[in-house]
Amino acid sequence: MRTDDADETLMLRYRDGDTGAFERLYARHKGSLYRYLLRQCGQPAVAEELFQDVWLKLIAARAGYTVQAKFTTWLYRLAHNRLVDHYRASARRVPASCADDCPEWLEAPAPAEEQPENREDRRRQAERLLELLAELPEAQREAVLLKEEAGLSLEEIAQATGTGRETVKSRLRYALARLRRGLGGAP
Amino acid sequence: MNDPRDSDFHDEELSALYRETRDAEPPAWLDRRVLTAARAAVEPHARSATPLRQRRGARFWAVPVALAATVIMAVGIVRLARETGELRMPPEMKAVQSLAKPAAEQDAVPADEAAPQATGRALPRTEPPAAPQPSPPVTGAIQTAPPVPTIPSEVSPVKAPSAKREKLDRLQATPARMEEGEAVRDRVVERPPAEWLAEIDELRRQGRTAEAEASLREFQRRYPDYPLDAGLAVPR
Repeated sequence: MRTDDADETLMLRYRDGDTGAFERLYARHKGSLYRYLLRQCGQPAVAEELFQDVWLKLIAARAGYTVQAKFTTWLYRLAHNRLVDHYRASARRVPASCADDCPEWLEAPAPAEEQPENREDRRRQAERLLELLAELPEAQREAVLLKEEAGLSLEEIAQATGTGRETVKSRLRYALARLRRGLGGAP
Repeated sequence: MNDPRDSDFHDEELSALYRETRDAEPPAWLDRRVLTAARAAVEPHARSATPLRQRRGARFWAVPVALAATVIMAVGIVRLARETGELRMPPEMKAVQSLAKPAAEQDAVPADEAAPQATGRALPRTEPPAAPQPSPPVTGAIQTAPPVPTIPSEVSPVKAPSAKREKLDRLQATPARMEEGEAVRDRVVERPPAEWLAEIDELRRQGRTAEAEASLREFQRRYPDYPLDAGLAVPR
């Protein structure tokens, strides 16, 4: 990615009034962010609301933007915080997995009726993957989504979610093991 | 993108499979909404950059300009009032204003009501003469006052100056009697202190200094504790 095309540069240009820079940023990240939110909350309507809120928050923070971290990390930090607010507002408890990564989850068997019978159908496998992803503890799912959708490293995921690097490592390890197992592969 | 140590936590097969699920996108209306918000956040800023400075400048100058306008207006009003004489108070009103409350209570009787009582004995002699030439503002103010002949003076306090002017006119018509020493004593007895002082002031204005001083001495003898206003310019 060229320097003048980097996310941070585009954001700085938007801060200075270049709406075209924002459009490029938005086009670059909208799908990943939307899917991150959709996978996390599971409801398209809620995901749309959260998606809009995250971007509006970013727009509101435009004037004071300085490059202090990777843009994607900042964007998903906003999204993570909005999700936590959503959990609280909807009287859902904050996912336990945010505070407690339980190794026993690895041993918990996936529901038998959700095991795909036909593994040749790639599409069905993909759908299954999404189902498995939805079954993951939320913090683990978030780590997977930030890695797959936003392309964040362990450090960046830790920054975005406000946790430590080792915690992220642990969450990813358990999540990948469970997904593999759910898909019929080796854990 | 991920550092090498992350490889333990990356499953390429899973990633590839996951990428096949990445078909969910935000709806078009949501795209439009976000982009509209992004433009709206920038465009008002760009449009209002100069006007904002102008507004700040306007706010900065608003208070000084308002103060200056107020001062200019006040000075203009004062000058206009001085030129037209509206600012200067008639001598009799000055006297009334300068006296203490007991005197004010004595003067509380309307001029037109007091006039018939005084007319029988001492009114022609005790009323001070009309305002002489040195005080045109007083006469100007009185002359410019609209006449209200149909309204009884008891009801309209505005008429009081007119009644006093009538008395002044009558007094001016009989100046000879004022020279008599007895007349001074008579009106001392008859008149309240306020009117008396006004009369003294008026005598002085007319240049009848000896008579004014005699009247003042009599006044001080009769009202030794009565406060005298320096503004009356009564000779002492």
